[in-house]
Amino acid sequence: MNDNFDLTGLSSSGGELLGVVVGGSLGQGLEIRLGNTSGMSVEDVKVGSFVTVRGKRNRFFGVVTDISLGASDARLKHAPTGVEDPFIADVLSGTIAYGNISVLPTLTMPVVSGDNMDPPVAAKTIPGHFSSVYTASEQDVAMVFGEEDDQHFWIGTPLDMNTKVCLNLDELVKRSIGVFGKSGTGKTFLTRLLLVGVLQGRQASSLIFDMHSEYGWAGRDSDTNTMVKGLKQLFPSQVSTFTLDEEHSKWRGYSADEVVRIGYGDIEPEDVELLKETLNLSDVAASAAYNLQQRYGRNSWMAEFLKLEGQSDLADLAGSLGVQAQALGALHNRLRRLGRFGFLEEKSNFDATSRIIEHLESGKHVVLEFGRYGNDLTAYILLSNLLTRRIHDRYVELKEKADGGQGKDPRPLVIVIEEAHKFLNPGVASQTIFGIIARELRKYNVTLMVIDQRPSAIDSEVMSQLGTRLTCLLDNERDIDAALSGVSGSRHLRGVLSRLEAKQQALIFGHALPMPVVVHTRAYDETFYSQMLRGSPTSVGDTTSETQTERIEREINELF
Amino acid sequence: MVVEGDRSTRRIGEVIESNTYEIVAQCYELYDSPPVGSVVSIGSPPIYAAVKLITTQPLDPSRPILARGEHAATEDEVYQDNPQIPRLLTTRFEGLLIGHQQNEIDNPYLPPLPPRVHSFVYTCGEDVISRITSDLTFLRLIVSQIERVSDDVIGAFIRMADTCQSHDEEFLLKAGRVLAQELSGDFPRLNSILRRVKPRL
Repeated sequence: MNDNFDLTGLSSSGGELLGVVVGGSLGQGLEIRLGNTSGMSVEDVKVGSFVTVRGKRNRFFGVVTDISLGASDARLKHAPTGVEDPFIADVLSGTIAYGNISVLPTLTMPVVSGDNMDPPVAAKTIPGHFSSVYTASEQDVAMVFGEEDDQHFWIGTPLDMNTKVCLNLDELVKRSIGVFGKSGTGKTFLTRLLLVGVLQGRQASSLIFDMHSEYGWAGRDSDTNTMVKGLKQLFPSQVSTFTLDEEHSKWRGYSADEVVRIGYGDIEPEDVELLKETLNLSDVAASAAYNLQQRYGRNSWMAEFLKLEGQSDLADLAGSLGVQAQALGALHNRLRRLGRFGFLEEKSNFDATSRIIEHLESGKHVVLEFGRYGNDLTAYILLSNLLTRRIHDRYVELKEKADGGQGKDPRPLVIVIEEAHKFLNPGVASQTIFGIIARELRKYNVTLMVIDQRPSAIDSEVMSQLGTRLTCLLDNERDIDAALSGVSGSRHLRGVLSRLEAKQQALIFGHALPMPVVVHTRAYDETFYSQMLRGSPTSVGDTTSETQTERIEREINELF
Repeated sequence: MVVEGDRSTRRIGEVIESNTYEIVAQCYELYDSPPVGSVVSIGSPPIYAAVKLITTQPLDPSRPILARGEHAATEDEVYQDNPQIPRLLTTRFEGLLIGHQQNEIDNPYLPPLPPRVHSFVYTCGEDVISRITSDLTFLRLIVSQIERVSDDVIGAFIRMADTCQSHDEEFLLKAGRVLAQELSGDFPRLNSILRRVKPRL
């Protein structure tokens, strides 16, 4: 046992000495023996907290992934005699009976910190035996997670620290994003924060399929039963709200920018295919829609089909199409049910896709609120799939033109969907547009932000394409496995993930951060609003991009 | 009794057997052995030893001692009635070598050669004990020879060292931790020594 072990001290940046490295590997993490005389108790170390290790040539930055108790003599465990005596217990603790922590070294930093140092890079080696391990100081953490600026959005603070953890917005929107967590763990608040970040970053537009009308104008904080401001209230000039349910918006005391209407002609057999589960349709019935499209044409198949009345008409049609009469009957019955949606019209002059794209192209963020239809999964799946497919087609076209030298690249787009497993489960992920977007990555400048409480129900191929994942508390084993799939060191993160607190804590990892981190998410409250209004480019000097009407609207809102 | 130099340092006997690890010394006076666990210095430059086994036995092994006090009222009376006894008995003790001085530096390891027979044996003053027990490396040397020494000797050594380290309140704890490090694989033995060392309130 080396005598250095008993040293107390501080790291160059002010972290407290914890112990020394006694073993480990790059893959499995380092084993650190906690020191005994520095007044440090095993209870002072928390899983998920950061440490620095001072090697000979590098300083390593890592995260505590496990804490354990060890004994150098197994007999201590079986017959712990004498330990009731405080003196003997004092002697034994830290010597024969000791605390161990496992640390996953993730980054290396220069030994000496200065003004123009290199940024931390992924660790490709580990520190040697007996390297001293310190708690990471605020300065260390700030060096790793960056400073808040135009490209770095402050998402929260590490546990027990006041340093900011900032997401690299550029990296965030380049690839798809996943937000997971059990119901009631703060997914919506986290998503709101992320969207504000995307909005501030200005690299991308976002299209939010707002199932429960939580992001656009205002959302409800179910804990305090109060309303919190939505994106439109915070950034009126940058956000456009579309609604399917005009009345619902009015009840909430504002009017949406656009009211969406969808014509029967916009619905395609692919949409029906996706609704199989929610409409309780058989495979045969769902695929009959393709036959109908062939028969009546792309734009009028549904209108024509729904015009048919009576069993005999349907039986005749079934005969001529060569499909089962019963299946066709079921399809007819279910499509009629769709017809009851107020936003569906036989003929609609409103080209939702073009309107949305117009807003997006002008750099705005579009929130599509479902109003009362939000409780109907059929409406949500139908609409989001239908619109996304068209928008994606347009983006592909624009992108390919741009690649061919005609026109400019379409503005990157982040599409936000909730209940993502309905679109991305292994059964349908290969067919839906969301599956395609997730897989083809950012080739066409469209990425996804998937929000879900059951990541295990999402196709693993899609999961593997998520660049950044933000995970609130999950306790189902399969969900934890899925949320961490394809991540190096996931075994270590498991423990961290299942011990998150139920509120305001999230494990974030992926491209937008240099290393996995558990954050206490930033509060979404009055302070946040005022910070946004102060710091946001829209608030103070952005009168140029705000039209007269918008300004008046904003001022009215501020007044009342 | 021969007093040399420091008043607390006494010459108490001579080495009569010697090997690399241990010596046997015979005391000049009956029952005048230093206590178990105390440190003696042998020869010059001094070699240090910790006292372990103390024996008092007949000088002539072929003449066993007989009980003589059947009619005596006290134990002292036995000795007074038999003045030959001190001449027939001798006190010897074994010492475990724990270090030596070389060029005025105390080395916590064995001397290259053991002390010569008839080397003089002295008790050590508090200053010497305080000096050689302050960094506990001598304790490590004793514990490293654990098979040659009993728990009581180690316990006594630490208690004796503690009295000489009165300025260090944490001394017992530090010594305990050194023991724990050296005996990390032998919890029962460690426990047994610690029970002999723990502070009595």
